[in-house]
Amino acid sequence: MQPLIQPFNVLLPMLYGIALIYYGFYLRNGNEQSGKWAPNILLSALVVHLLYFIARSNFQYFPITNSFDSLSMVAFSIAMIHLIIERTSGEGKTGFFFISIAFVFQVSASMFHVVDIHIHELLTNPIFGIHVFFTLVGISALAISAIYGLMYWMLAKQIKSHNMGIIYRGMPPLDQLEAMGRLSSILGLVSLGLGLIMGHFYAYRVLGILFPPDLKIIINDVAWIFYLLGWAIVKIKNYNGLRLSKLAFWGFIAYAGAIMAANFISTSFHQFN
Amino acid sequence: MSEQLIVIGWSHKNAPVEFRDKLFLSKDEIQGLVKEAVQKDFIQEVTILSTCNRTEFYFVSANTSPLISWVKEWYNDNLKRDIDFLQCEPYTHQGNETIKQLFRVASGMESMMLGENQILSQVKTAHEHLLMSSGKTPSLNQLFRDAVSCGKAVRTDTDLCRGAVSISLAAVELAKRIYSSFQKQKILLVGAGESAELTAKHFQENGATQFIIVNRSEERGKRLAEKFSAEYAKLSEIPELLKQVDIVVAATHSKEYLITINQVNQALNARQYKNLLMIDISTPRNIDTEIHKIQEVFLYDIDHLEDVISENLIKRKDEIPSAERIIKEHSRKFISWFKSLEVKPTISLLTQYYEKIRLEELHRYEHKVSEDEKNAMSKLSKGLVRKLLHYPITHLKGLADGQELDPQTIDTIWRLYRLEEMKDSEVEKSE
Repeated sequence: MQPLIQPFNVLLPMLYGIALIYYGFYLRNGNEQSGKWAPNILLSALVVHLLYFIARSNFQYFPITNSFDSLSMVAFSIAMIHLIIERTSGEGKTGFFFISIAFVFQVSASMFHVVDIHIHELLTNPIFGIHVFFTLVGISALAISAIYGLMYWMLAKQIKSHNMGIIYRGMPPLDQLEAMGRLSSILGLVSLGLGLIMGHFYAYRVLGILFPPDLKIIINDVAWIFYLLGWAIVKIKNYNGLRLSKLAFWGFIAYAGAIMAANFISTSFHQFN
Repeated sequence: MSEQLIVIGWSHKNAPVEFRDKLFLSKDEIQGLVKEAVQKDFIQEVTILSTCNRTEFYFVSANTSPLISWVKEWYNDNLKRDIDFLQCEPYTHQGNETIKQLFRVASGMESMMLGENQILSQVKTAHEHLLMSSGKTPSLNQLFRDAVSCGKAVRTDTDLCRGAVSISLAAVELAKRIYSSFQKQKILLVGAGESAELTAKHFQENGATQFIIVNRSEERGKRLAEKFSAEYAKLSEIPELLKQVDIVVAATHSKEYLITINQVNQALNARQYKNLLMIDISTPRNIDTEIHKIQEVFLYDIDHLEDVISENLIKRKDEIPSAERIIKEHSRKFISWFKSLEVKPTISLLTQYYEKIRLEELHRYEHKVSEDEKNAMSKLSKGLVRKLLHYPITHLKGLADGQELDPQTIDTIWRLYRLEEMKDSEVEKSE
């Protein structure tokens, strides 16, 4: 499959790069043509990315065999979540920020693409693959929601301080940033929830226990419950504005910190190499 | 003599407002002038652009010298306006400069407020008047059509007309950074004066539908409320209203604060800490400046909005080179079209001139030769004329396309071949 995969390593960064340039023009000049082209190019990049995953796996295993494959999957998730939010809200000016992250991740994944792949047995199981996919998409969506929170915070700060800088001019209005952040966190919550359920189901099938005593699993479960509770409180108390954006931002920082700490402390079947 | 485009005008640049007021022409007055102007042998086409900031007469004329005095006489004799034109002489531009002037006007480059938008619709209106007027106006019709598309291109491709440059518009622009739509937003207007009304008008134009008007004078407040299908409330109701509104605009002349920090603090819980935009365009200020400290409140006063305006103006000025490029490109296209108008009748008359000579010469010999020889001679002469004219016509067309054709060249050709006589004899024949 290698000769088939090699062109993707050039094509994918190129497509994400072109989409990024268009998003950049749209952010800078508000050029409507760029605004129309950017999501179409991004959609093409996502389709090509999907084809890459198919070519890579050949329908035999989930295509995350090393850390750089994970980066590629995260790039795909971020771009996909952004595109869903853009299509739903009709606002693409934030695209530049998210696609630049996806671009950097994809460039790294393509540059350090490993030819000799060792396929872990776990990856050949479709349930495990679905678990990994939904979990990564969920975490990416929550990260995007946190970035929206940060954008809201920064824009609100600029408006409050009467500073009409680039953020003031380039960002969507505060209420739209809030709506996009909300949508992103709902997508994250649902996707991560599905990922975790699939993970538990798989653990039960393989290990015979629904809740294995694994630090990473515990942290993710607790984080998801916190997110769910947070979402319910926000709904009931009608939290909005700056409070909500700060909650989304710090919530994800805490979650990411806990995952990193867990990775540092324990190694478990989540590490494939 | 070839026809020339000429503009004679007065604007904010060379005439004070009192003088410009006297020059302003209504639609009927413009039509009256056009009707009379087309009867003058020195005017081929005319139209007028008349706004509060400028009155400009656009002519196509072969003899430009009597135009200024004709315009002045028309004001004083026909409209009986008794204007002292010695006080303000008009500016005049001829040829390419006329084109550039109208394109600059349509683009907002000549407006009192750089990049103003209203002028484009005024140029469109002048074009509509032109289309409605009797008589043929091919050159001015094309000129105004191109001016409108030039104005549109400048507005689309540059930021010359972007960013608010008035206090009320700056307030709306600011609110747009917080709310993507005003349809669901409640706007509280404190005051019912001119500034409050203008701000409400701009919000309404941008989709706002829910207004609450608070004013000391109930009569005035209710009058404004009626205009915007709004609710009227008393000043004492402000603390309650703060719990439900999203935007507050204060525009009164009250010497004391009408909205205090305590009122806003008390409303915060009820409004579930939703954002609140407060715009104070009153002098002296009517909203307690301490309110700025509340996290959820964005408070702007007139100085802040003026900063926004000055920044927007600087940005607009930065766009001038890009706008100039667009104007230059559109002017180039129009000049090319206009030159081709000049060259077409010349080529046609030149062809007729040669054809006339050919026929005259054939006629001289037609009784001395047989029918076959006559046909051969006709064929030969036709070919000869075609070959003789080929290079001059190609060259003329090339000059016109490359915008190198100057009126002198055309004039020389007309003199050399006596095309004026040729034209007159054609006119006589057709009559």
